[in-house]
Amino acid sequence: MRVHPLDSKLYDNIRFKLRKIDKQLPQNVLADKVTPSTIDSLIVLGDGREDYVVVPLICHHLNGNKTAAIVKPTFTRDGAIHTLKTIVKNYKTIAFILDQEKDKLPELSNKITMKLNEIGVKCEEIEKLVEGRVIRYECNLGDHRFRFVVVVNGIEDVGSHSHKIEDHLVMLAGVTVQNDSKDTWNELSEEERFGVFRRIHDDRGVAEEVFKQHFAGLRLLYC
Amino acid sequence: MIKRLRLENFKGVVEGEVELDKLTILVGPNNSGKTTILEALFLAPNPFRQVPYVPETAVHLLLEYHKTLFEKGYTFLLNKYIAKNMLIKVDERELLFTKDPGPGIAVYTSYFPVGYSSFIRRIKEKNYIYLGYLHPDSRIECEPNVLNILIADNTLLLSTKLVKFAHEYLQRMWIEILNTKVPALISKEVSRFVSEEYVNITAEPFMADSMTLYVMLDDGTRIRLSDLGAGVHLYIINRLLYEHYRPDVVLWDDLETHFNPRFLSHIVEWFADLVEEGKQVIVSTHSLEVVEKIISYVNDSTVLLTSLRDGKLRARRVKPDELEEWAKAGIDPRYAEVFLL
Repeated sequence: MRVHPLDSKLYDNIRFKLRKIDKQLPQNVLADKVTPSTIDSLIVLGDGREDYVVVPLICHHLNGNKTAAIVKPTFTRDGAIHTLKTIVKNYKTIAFILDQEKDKLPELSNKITMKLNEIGVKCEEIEKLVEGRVIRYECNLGDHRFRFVVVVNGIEDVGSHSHKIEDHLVMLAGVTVQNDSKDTWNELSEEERFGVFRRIHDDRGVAEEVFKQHFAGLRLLYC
Repeated sequence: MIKRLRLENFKGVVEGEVELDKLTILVGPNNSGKTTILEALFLAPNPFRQVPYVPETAVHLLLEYHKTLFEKGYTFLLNKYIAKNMLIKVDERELLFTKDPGPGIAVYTSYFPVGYSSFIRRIKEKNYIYLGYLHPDSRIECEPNVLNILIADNTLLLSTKLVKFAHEYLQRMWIEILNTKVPALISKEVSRFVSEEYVNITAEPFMADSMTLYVMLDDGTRIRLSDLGAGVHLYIINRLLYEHYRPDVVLWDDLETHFNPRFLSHIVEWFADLVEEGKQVIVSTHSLEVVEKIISYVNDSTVLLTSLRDGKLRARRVKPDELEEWAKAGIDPRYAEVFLL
């Protein structure tokens, strides 16, 4: 699956980082030429920076030649849900990826359904996967029906006091977290960090093991 | 004011219509019809009229502007070069180009100007009056009284690509500009955005007997316009053209090209003044910075998001608060036009 960023900053961020991994990668991962009929899925990033590169790389392993639009709203985490009302109607499936941080998973799930209700979305929880880190809802906004898939970043076994996408990255890097996975990740050299991104791209087996919820959730965009 | 433009078989557009405002900003991807809209509006008042460029005939200028080598003829105006009829309709007035019968293109209008008579032809159950003929060898044929006809508000197309055609015209017509206050006024305006102090614009010899245009600095030094920065050069030429020609409608293609944001703000202020004077401004841009500047300065401005697919021109009117909401949602209309149209 390829991604089609809907904003210039996001487009440049993804393109720039992918190019550092491999010069050919942007052409393979980004879809520049699209028609509305070829895209009915959207990925919403609740958090940025490393998600910009990790999510497109995982998408690249999934769903064949499909394409998903991707956005990073200005508000972070569950705050991003408020902006969804503007765009929901163009898509049949939406994946929302956010950091767990210090929230308990059931609390986070409640927060998300509350935010969805606030913008007028009625949702019904259908299933939970990967220990509750992937939640599939069937939703309605007016007469528009869509699937909403929440993917929560973080790995419990990584001893970070706040769980986020960096939990996965440091696990892949094989380093031990002292306090916060983000700090540990940032202490790595640029070369080491891009080595991890390259592994996500090159070794699907390892990537799928470490980013279980992302593979499970993003797979749902087109099934 | 031109409120509506309809195109059929004009250049890449098989069919499409746009609604225009006092100030309209055309935004969209490459090849989405922005320049085509501006060129149609440039021809609409009368393709045979004189414009402030060399060549002086509107349609001939477009021919030179699109020419890459030594091509002749006007078939570039027709969709895929093979359409038999092409239509530019401004509000209720039509301009019809037809290759029937060939080999050239005959031009007619559905508007019957007072005091103008020529032969009338009935095409698709409508009467059209003959304006002139575009020959395959690029010659243009029309009666002298056709030159003064205005089928729509008079328009002036401004573009980086047209600067070279403007130079020759301005040099030829300099006597009409020389003793007006315009050159000094423009010099003063431009001085706000450059380190030097310009006091005037002059036309003088350069080498041997060749004439050229200069800005004159406060110490009397002259610098050729073409040796100035591209933005300053473009602005001076466009302002001179406007002040000399005084069109009803200014069409500016790719507004962001060559301008620093501060200079752009000045241009947008000028647009606001034009709109206040009752003029109409239509610009194309790829820059959201330009869009935001214009909508913050000019109340009656409209953003049109354009797209061209399979020859069908579409345009969606975008409200300023929609742009704001999209920005919050992480959507840039230039990247997401396929979903927004």
